[in-house]
Amino acid sequence: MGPILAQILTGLANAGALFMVASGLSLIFGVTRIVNFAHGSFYMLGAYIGWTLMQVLPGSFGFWSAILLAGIAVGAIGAFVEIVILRRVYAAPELFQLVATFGVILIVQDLALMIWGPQDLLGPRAPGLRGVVRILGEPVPKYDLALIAITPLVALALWALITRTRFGILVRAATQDREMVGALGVNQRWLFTGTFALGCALAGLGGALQLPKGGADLLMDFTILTSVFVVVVVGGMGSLPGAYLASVLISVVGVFGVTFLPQSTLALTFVVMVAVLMWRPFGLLGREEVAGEMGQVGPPEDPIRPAGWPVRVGVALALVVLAALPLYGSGFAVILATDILIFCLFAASLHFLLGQAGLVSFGHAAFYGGGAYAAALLVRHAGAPMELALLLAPLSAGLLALGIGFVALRASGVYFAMLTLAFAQLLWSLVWQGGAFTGGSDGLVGIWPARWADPNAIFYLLTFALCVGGILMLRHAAHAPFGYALRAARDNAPRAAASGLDVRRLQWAAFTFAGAMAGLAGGLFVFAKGSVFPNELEIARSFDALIVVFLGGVKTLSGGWVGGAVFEAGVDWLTRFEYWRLTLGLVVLFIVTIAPQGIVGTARAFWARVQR
Amino acid sequence: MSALLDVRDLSRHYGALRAVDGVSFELAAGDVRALIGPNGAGKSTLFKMLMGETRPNSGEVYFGGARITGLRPARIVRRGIGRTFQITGTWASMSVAENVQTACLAHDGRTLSILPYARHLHRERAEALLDTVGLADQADRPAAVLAYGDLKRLELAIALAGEPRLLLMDEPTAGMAATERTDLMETVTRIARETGMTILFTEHDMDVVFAHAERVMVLDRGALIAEGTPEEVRADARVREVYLGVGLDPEALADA
Amino acid sequence: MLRRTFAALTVSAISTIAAPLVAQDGEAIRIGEINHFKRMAAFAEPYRKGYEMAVEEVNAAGGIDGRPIEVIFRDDQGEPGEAIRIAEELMTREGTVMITGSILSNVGLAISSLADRQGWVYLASEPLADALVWSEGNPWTFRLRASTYMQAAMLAEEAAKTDAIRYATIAPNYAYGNDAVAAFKEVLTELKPEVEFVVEQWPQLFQIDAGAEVQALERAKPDAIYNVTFGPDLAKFVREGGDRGLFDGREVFGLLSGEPEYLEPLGPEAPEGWVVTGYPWYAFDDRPNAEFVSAYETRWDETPKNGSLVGYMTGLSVAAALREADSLEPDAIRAAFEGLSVTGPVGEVIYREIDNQATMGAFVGTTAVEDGQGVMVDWSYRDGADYLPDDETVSERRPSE
Repeated sequence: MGPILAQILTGLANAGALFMVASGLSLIFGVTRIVNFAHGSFYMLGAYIGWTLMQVLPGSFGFWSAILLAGIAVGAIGAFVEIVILRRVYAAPELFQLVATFGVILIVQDLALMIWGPQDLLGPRAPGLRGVVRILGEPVPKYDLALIAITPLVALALWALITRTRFGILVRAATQDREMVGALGVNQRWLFTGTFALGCALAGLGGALQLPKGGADLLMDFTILTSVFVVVVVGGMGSLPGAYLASVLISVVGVFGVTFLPQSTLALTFVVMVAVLMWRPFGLLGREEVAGEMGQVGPPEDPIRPAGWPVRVGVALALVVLAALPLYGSGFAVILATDILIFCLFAASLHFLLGQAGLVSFGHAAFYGGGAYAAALLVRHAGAPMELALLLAPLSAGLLALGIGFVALRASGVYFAMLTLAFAQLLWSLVWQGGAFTGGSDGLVGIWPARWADPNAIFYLLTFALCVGGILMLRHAAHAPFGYALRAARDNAPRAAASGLDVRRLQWAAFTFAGAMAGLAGGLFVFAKGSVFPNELEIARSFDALIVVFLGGVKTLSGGWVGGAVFEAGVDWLTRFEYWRLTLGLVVLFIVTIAPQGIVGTARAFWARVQR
Repeated sequence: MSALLDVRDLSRHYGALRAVDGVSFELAAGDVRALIGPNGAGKSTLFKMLMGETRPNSGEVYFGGARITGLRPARIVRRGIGRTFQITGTWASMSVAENVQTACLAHDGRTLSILPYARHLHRERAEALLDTVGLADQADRPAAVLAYGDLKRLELAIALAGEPRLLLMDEPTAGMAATERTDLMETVTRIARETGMTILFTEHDMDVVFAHAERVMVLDRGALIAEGTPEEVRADARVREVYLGVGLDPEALADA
Repeated sequence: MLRRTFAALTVSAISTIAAPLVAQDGEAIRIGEINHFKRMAAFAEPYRKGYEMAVEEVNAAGGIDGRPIEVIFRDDQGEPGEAIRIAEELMTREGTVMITGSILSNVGLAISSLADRQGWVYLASEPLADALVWSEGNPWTFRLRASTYMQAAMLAEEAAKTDAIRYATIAPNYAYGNDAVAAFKEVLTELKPEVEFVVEQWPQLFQIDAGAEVQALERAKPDAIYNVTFGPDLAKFVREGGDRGLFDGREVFGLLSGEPEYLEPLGPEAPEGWVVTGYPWYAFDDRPNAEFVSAYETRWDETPKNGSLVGYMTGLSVAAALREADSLEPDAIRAAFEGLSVTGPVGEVIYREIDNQATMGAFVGTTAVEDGQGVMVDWSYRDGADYLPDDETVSERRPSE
């Protein structure tokens, strides 16, 4: 009995910081509909600021006020970010704001490195709470008990704030019906700022509170992000009691997982998440999402037209010039162009899914990495030639998408996005723990192109043909009946269904098609690099593609590949500088604020104005 | 000849609320019938059940002699039922003609094709349908810029593209100017006469109902309380009570 | 064919631009260094400083036959794919003659595979994976730092001297952790067949649930614990384990736990009595080691880390190989590395011909807390050559040669 109780207490203590960070994210999403990728960064800032304050403020009083002040400081930083950046992009397509939050992540990473240095900081102990008490003979750290007590207090305070104050009533109203708040004449701007600041303050509080259990380090922003996403989704986006329930559930399951299935640490939370969402597609306490138009808010795009002859001739010429790159470009230019082309196809495939089908996937890397691994495994274990591997990579990725889509499309909106993320993570953990078969984190190396395609110039031409072919195919599909049917389902799903379109089957087909195309890009990647590692399945890879699609412009046909080319080339150039993450973050924010329709969208709007 | 649509004892409950409660009726081919009733009477729920968008708790629907209860909307549409929505449903990112062309493609079942250019398919048929509803001159404008009345017409063309044998129209003239209403309903009834299409529509405007429906059904709190010719329904004491008692549109009934 | 022509063209173009810029002695010899300077700043920065210091010393002493060494540092974000592209750029456009670097094993493996394909020399300075010189080893890749196997073997040797029979292991759930546990088990079981491994814990890298891990270890009632966690995971593990009394009365063996990178952040809470591998820079009285430490402190105004030593040795190795080689062609540099002897602060290090692994060793000692800071006491330097399997086993594990 003792050990079991002790484990439950450990789980409850772990739930503390997780709940605070998750409830902040949940609040922000509920009111502003922003999926705040930077939430982990605010958590990290809370830890660092808390650490600094604890060095200055003495004693028990100093310790606890440092935690509180850290929360307040991070809240202020959050308010600053909201006012200076996010406010400018609320009118942009939904989820576009996540690009801005991505820029914030990059900036915070470099600033934290500049201010606090590269070394991990050990969290100070809570005065008077060092050591353990024995409960049924089991040692339980005193600070754990403090956390177990504090968390419900914070939750209660939050609950009181939400139910008893005018601000809280507005928050709840906004979570349930955004237009209504606007109609009530409430100053929506300050409501959003207030909510964002409160959410960030909670993240900062979480970061400072966990200091005595660990410390502050530069990787903690990303390491907590996935767990927080899981908690928010399992609990139900926008539901505070849900967030508490889910953080306890995930933490306690995690603790027992460590004991009884030590190898399970990677996959367990995601298995729980998929199971919960299969049972309750909107999380434990979430409501059905009303805002169904993911990525499509704002004025509808103009009807698309196939390019006219002058444009086609121009594009053909440009392609010829590009194809001839090995004749005039340097060896490195050819290699860089190969990488960019592959990334463009990957981005274009996600762009098709987002732009045409209106489906936002947070886990598109599952198919990119899936295709890459399919090709690599075929070569490594079946001795397949490159040609066969490149053929089977998109097929395998398509099959994978067929399977994942079957489950994920039961949900919609952000829940769909989160399910794709969960599946991508599951695949990642499978590969990570695949032992000799997948090579685990050491990956599969030594997988180079067939002899005839070995020279970089030839491989470039092969990549060029497949990627440009793939991008053109995706583009043409938008003009074909498939594209029209998808846009019909996206613009107005009930109308589409009443016209005999099977909306879910169409989305499923689009998901599979996009997955297969990402798989082709992944297959090419393996042979370009000669190796593949689980990095290609990571969340960061999915985010890269997502950012690029938004940067390029969702409501355009070329946004995917244009964004991909600009981003990949930009990163290659920027990483030559010392503080490249800071620079890249600022550039991203700059683009986001001056060009909320993305690069292509804004260029088109500009061109239209010039013509008039 | 058996009825085109045969609804038997159809019910849908939400907890204690009986949105639709044991409704039965038949429609013969070529009927133009109105379904009226105060707000919350269950008209929209009934439509949703007929289209397969909502599952009934009990009861059955037969269409053309075959049971369609529990089929998915796309399957029911294939059998020959079409509808228009109270909140007008069109596809904003396409041109007017493309809206109708897409509906034609959906009717064809060619929607997974990625080879041809869709804008060249069914263009003539779309133009003919737009001509029928009086939108031919706006074929190449983006649907997003249409006036409200034109959107209603466009949706009618979209629905007609599916060549339905039965067309359900949920408040087809809501929000339109009086002259537009008459225009639209005349177009609809003309098409019904010409093609033998059956029409079931809900409507708040009693002028429209009494001018265009051959027969009228009255739904109140989920149950059918009257059915007959416009004159019969107008004279029905319970109907008068429902409308006058509830206070919705009493003047409309009185005016008529 | 085509590629080589282009490579030649770019190299000559860069050389002509670069020539007037360098010192009067002659044109610089360029070395490409690829590392995760941002993502793993705590480890990469000291490494870079050590490396730069070695290069400065070499250049001050006249460089390589009058030509200075120039190192081009590039950040790969910790992404193998990026590292590959940067390697290509360095070798084909920047005119570097060889590649060094990486901490993460997967990045090291990716560069190594490219080096093998292109016939470029790669000195994997810091990555620890055994695969780098064994299962995925190739003639073009050399590795400097004592590998996972070597360091685990050093601890296993110490473990065999104790009375502990029941062992528990805790290692991050990825290739390094797996290798480290496997090597420790292999060597310890050989030295002392009666030991048993009662529980293996595999926390996720940098996401350890320390409380739960400690409870799971305690539940198995081991005599000894073998720890492979590092960085923030180690801090959390040490804290929870200390609070809950996990380490009381148990032998603990910590791989790398004595390296300043990991020990210093723990401050006064550093564990006491653990047997660890590490780098006791504060305790040297022998000349070469002490001289390096004071030179480093003078140059950078901070104390050295283990990475500083590895970086310094990297610079010395590169210089030694360039001196030894009769040309700057990759093949000549590769040949020079085979059997190359480099003398640095820790003594002589030899790049073994049999598997391209350098014999650089590690310091093994016991942790203690002195003046509020974790240190290693009773330490000694173990020569890496003594902790590698016999030649026959090595050949079996290295299929490429």
